[in-house]
Order: sequence, then structure tokens, then C-alpha cells
Amino acid sequence: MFDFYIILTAAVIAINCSLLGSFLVLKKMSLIGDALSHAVLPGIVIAFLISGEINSFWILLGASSFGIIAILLIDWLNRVGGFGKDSAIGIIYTLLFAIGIILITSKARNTDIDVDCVLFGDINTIPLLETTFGVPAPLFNLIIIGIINLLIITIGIKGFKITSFDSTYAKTLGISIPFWTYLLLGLSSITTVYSFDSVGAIMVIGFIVIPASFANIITRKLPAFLAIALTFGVISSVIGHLIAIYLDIPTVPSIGVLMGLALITTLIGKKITNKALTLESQQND
Amino acid sequence: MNFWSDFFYFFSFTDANINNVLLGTILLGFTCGMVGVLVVLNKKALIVDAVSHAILPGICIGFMISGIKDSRYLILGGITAGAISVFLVDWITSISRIKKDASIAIVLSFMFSIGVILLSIIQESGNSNQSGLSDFLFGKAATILEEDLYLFGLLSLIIITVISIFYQHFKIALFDSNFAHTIGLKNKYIQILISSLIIISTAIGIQTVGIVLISAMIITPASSAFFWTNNFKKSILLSGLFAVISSIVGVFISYLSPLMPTGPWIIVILSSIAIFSAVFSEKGIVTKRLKGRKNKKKMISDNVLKYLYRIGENHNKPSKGRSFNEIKNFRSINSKELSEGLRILTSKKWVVKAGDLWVLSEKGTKEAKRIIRIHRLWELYMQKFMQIQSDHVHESAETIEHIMTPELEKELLKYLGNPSVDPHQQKIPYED
Repeated sequence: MFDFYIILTAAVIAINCSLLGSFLVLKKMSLIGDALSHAVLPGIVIAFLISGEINSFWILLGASSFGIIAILLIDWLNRVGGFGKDSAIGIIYTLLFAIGIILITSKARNTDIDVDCVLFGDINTIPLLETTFGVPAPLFNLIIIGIINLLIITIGIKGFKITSFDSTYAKTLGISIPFWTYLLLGLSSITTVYSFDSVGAIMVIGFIVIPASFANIITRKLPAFLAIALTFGVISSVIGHLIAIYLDIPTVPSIGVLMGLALITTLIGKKITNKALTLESQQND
Repeated sequence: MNFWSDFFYFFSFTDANINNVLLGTILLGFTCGMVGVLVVLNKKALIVDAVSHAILPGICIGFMISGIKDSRYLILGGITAGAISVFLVDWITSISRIKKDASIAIVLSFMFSIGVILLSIIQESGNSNQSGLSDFLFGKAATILEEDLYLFGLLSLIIITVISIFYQHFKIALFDSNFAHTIGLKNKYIQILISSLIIISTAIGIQTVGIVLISAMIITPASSAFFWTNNFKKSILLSGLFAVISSIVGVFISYLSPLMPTGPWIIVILSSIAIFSAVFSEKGIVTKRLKGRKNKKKMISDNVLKYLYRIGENHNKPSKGRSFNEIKNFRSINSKELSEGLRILTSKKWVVKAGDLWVLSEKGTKEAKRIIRIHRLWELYMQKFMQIQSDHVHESAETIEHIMTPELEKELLKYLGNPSVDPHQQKIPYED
């Protein structure tokens, strides 16, 4: 059961992240996801300091508010302050992350939150935690969020699709681009928060971007895109954990390396077959 | 110990340990700040993230090879891994349709994952030297030793020398790529040079602020500097200065309270400088707003002055007083703006109130003539020299009348040869 829960947790995170990541990648907003995963930290710490619990509604509230604050600040620095988009993202997420680290090291010493946990996550403790309806609480939360994500994306698939692929066309149809963008960012920050304690603030970006980028090099059709991204994420989680057990290394980075290697080998493979194809056609001529 | 005795002890520079830490952070801060200007101008702000996270596996391999925590091996490993990450990001974007930002995120998480695995292998190997290797994640300013200083000093010196030698090349390549192309300056080499500077400064910079926050150490001071100056050299120095100030304050805060981490505090100070610059600098939000308000006031009062003169002109009685409603009905102007305009004009003594009527003073008449003269001269100029139809020239003249300087007016008169009427056959008023 121990390994089953770890694999299940990783797979659910992979499903959540690659689903939202697909749209983030299509909208060229991959790094906003990265920024969000860092920016929510002070929200988590403050909520934890007030409520004293690690898995509470307050954590979600605190983290989501900081996610929104980060997005608004980036937008404000970019539009009103005159910073470049890249610089605005870079300045805000590092500032909020720094504040989070200061709060942890000075106020939350010797508690459940520590700096290593923030960076690397701790997926191996998931099966040991108290359960809700028979499943470990964090996993239960992730499943609920997965259902919410799936529901909202299924209902709003048209809006997400059109604003991701063709924003000019969406504008002429009178579809609100900010609405769908903020909805996507909102879902992303909630998902990031709940993936945080399992995979950490940095490697969550791998779960968001790598499966979607893998799908991106294979297809441009949305249903196939989503199916490939999700399958890629889930298979990587299962195999990644098995490799981790076999080599006695941590699970999450093992999944990260596996996903990265799979993507890079596919790119090399594509390049070689392309070369072979062009050579063949030259010979035929 | 109270704050001031701590303060004087810290800044008396008598404690060798504090001095090492200060000197180290100042050197690293200045270097990162300088390189940051090149990074931000070259729109490479986000590549720093990929480089910094990729340095973790490099450091681990450097440690595994040397078996000890020797800064030289660690930095060499870090630089190599950083170079690999820059190559990977470019390679992925060049052979697929994956965009730059996604490519950065892929390389970042992939390389960092390798780093975490290596870190766990090192920790399990039980090498007693490994403790503190994870300090690289958030920096370890407080443990900078004297021998580290020589290494940082050398590398910082190399970076500063490279920037001063290639100063002109950078300037041309970053500000005028067309010109750079015509004089045969190879952009490829400049890009490689800038990437190398990014990699080296990131590898040494993570000593103070760590892997996650180093990108802020590089891009935040530079972004702030651009609010105060447009000059390339000044922005490099100012960016370095901002980073140095933040480093000193950060080190001081963690000296005052050892629970406070140095790196994150440096970043908080840096970001505060950035936000302060965005709000209060000459190019900042407050100045822009104030200027905007001032310009709007001037436009309102100029317009009211003009209307008063033109009503007189229409009736051939320029010195007669006009009532509030008469001015209001001349052009559609709302009561609030009209009262505001009249208030400004009375305070300047350009308009005098006589009972219920408003009269132009001698000074006011002169100013009104000037505005209308510019308006009509400009209309004529647009029609004559830009071949614009006479019914299309009014809009542009409405704007130009508020901003034209006396020097430009003279030039305009010279071009047009003191004309007497505008395209609408209205008389151009000259001074008597």
C-alpha cells in the first residue's frame, strides 16, 4: 500500500499539472506557473502560523491570496511601473519567496514547515499521514482538486481552447480573454499549493511544463494534446517511482529526470528521423 | 547590546569575520548588478533561472570528484553545468516548436532534479565534508572564508575587466543592432560573451543568495537602475551600487538577529529599491501622474483664455467683459473645467473679474494672442508643407498650441514669412 499511495499521489499531481500545464504552455505562460509556485509560499507560512495546521482551509486561502497578489503585482509593475514582463515576473516571485523563507527561518522554526520541505517536497511521508475516507489526507485533497479541475475544464473547454490557440479570433467573438486567463491561473495556483508539500516548489514546474511540451512536439490538436500530456505524466510517475525504488534515490526528482530525458530523447529521435527522411527524398529525386 | 553599539561595531570594520563576509557580498553584489544591466537590456532575464537551478548538479559533481568542499571545484562544476543548461535551452527551442519560456522551465526542472538526486546520494555516502552543501540553495554569506575571497575576487575582476574592455561593443550591440551589423560586429560572439558572464556571475553569486534567489540579484538592481538613468555606463554603476547597498544591509540585518537569513533579506531590500524607483523616480509613477495633472491644468486654462479672446475677436470688442455662460456656450466646455480655468487665469492676473463679467488683462491678451498665433501658424504650416487638407489641420494645432516653444515659433515664422491669415482666412494676431 505504501508504494501504491506514493505512485497514486504522483500520478494525481501529474494529471492535475499536465492538464493545466497544457493550456499554460499553449498560452506561452509556462513561467507564470513557476512564479506562482514560489509566490504562494508566504501565504502558506502566514496561514500556518495563524492556524497551526498544515492541511487546512486557511492554507488554501492564504496561498491563493498570495497567488492573486503576485499576479496583480506582476501586472502592475509591467503596465504601470514600466518594467519588462520578464523582469516583473522575476522581481515579484523572488521577493515573495524571500519573504516566505524569512518567515520560515525566523518564525516557524521547529515546526512542520521547513526549508528543505518547501524546495523538495516530501512525497514519502504521504502514506503515513492521517486519512480522510481511508486515503491519506493530502492525496484526498489532490483528488478533489483533480475532479474540480476536470469539471471546470470540461465545462469551459471552448473558452480555454479558443483563448489559448487564437486570442485575436477570441477577441472578435467578444470572448473575455482576462476571464479565462485568470480562471486558468486561479486553478493553477490552487493545484500548485496542494502539490507543494509532495513535490516541492521547484519540481512542480517540471510536472506543469514537461508533459505539455512533450505533447506540443507531437500534435497541435487539443484532444490528442491533452491525452498525450496526461498519459506522459502518469506513465512517468509510475516508472519514475519504480526507478527510484530500484536505485534507492528520491521519487520526485527521479520522475523529473525521467520526464526530461524522455523529452530530450524524443527530440533527438525526431531530428534523426527528419534527417533520414530528407536524405531519402533527396536520393529519390 | 543595543542597536547603536551593534551598528558601530559592525561598521567599524574591526572584526575580521564580518569584514570577510562584507567584502565577499559586496564583490559578488557589484558583479551581479553590473552583469544584470547586460542581461535585462538583452532580454535574457529568465535564462538566469535556468542557469542557477542547473548549477546544483554541477556543484554536486564538483564535490563528488574532489571529495572535499573546495570552492574551486564547486564553482568549476557549477560553471560547466550552467553552460550545458544555456546550450540545452537554445537547442530545444531551435529544433522544436517549444517556446523559449517552456524550454527554460524544462531545463530548470530537469537539471534541478538531477541535482537533488546527486545531493541525496552524497548525503547517503556519509562523507562528513558534505554538511552545508545544501547551503547553496539559499546562500551562505555568513560562512564566506578568506580563501573564498581570493577566488571571488579573481572571478569578479575578470567579469569587471571583460565588461570594461568590451564596453563599446556591448553598447553598440545592445542599443543599435543595425549599426552593429553594418560595422561587422558579430552578434553571435556578443551573445556568447554575455551568456558566459551570466554563467560565471550566477555561479559565484549563489554563494550569497542561493540558487532560487540569484536571478533577483542580477535582474532586480538593473531594472531599478533604468528608472534613474538612460546612460549605459551610469546604469551599470548604479545597478552595481544598488546590489552593494542591499548586500550590506542584508548582512547587517542577519548580524543583528542571527535567525534572519542573509540572502532573502538582500532580495527584500533589492525589491524595495526597485518598487521605490518605479514609484518615486523621475520616470516613476508619481512624477508621471503629477506631470499629467499639470499639463491638463495648463490645457484647460489655455483653452479658456483662447475662448475669451475669440469671443472678443468675433464681436470686434476684445476688451469687453464676458459672462460665465457666454464663455461656456462659445465651445462645449463643462462648468467645472471653466471655473477651474478661470481660477488659474485670475491667479495669474491674465483675467480680471469685474462684477459678473470676466475681462482679459493686457498680459492675458498678449498670452491669448500667442496661443492663437501658434495655432493658426501651425495650421498654415501643415497645409503648405505637409499637403494636409485645411479641414484636417485643426486637431493637430489644438495639441501643438500648448507645447510649442518660442524658439520653434520663430523658426515657423521664418519658414512661413510672417503670413497674415490662416487656411480658414482668420487673421493671425501678432504683437503690437
